[in-house]
Amino acid sequence: MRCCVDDRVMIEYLEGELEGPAAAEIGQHVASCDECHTALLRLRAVRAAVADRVRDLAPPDESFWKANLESVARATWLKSEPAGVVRRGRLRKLAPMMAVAAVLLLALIGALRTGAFNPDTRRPEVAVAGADTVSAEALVDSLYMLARLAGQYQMAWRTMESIEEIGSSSDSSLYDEVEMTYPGTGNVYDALLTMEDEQVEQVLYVLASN
Amino acid sequence: MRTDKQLVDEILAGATEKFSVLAERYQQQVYRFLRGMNLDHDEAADVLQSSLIRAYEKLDTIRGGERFRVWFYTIAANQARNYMRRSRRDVALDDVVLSAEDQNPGEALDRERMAALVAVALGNLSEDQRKVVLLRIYQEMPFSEVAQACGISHGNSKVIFHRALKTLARWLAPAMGRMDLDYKER
Repeated sequence: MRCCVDDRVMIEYLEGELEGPAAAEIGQHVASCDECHTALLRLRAVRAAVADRVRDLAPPDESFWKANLESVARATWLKSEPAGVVRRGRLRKLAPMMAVAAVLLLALIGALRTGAFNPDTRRPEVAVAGADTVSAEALVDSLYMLARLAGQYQMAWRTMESIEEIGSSSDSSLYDEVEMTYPGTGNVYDALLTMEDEQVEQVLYVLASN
Repeated sequence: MRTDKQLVDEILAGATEKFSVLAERYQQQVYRFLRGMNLDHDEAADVLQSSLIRAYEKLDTIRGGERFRVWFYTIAANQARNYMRRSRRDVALDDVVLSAEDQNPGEALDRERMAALVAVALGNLSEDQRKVVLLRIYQEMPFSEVAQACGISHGNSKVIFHRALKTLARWLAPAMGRMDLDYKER
């Protein structure tokens, strides 16, 4: 590239790095000098070709991104906490607390689905709340429904954290009180207590991703 | 929508599951950046994953006010460098340039061949040049952020970019000489 405007200045002009008067001066020159005009077009074409090269790469499909997020989740926040995290304790290690939280959430699901918040819409009771046994899949599905119906994942998460606080307090009667507010769910509670860590993690993951 | 900084603060306060939001926000653009660094799909996928895990583990080292995006690109660039050092591959620039020169004079180089030529030319830049060029041109970062992501001074990022663009223009000259100079970025 040989022309009357220095390469470095030409590139700065191309990149919009020149200030007002200097940019105007180069602009005027380029408009009247064929050699510099061609040099500028060539640099611009190189720049465009580089950008296109990256954009033209065929993107992986959605399943790739989803699988990547799941793999990363398993290797990071589902597995351990990064350095510097300040919290009282690991939620996933608090299976009993999780169980109580889940019972409350299930009660909320029942309330939502039976139309407690909307008298005009009477729906059948949520099946999972009355089931003798509760599979991890059913629980995940219910929590997912909660997130969708209420559209308030934050609320659900705060509920879990408040339960964690109740559990961490020394007043065990609070814990009992929570359990008693939703009678007839002992089977759910028991089922939750027997869940594997991985299943509890899956519940958390579904909540977090919805 | 939560800002990156809010999310980082929340993760460090214990809401670790929110790392998925950050990962989802940046995984696609960083993947493309890695492909631009001449990694194939499998390699880019591996490096992307290791970069995200590294970012999670080192999240508490983000200095106050530092933007997650730039910091994450720094990690991705370093992971890519480590990967390429382990599996050094040479790219035959001459072959592609010669192939471009076979084109009939006056005939515009088709987009596919141009893309191949650009890929090889990018692969023949030094690693620092390639990184700066991709962050500046594809990610459209200002030079201040490019400098931060590459761990170099603002002035140095400009110098590296200028040299890289001139080098690319020289290498691509045989093709550019025949291609439509009104070629515009889509």
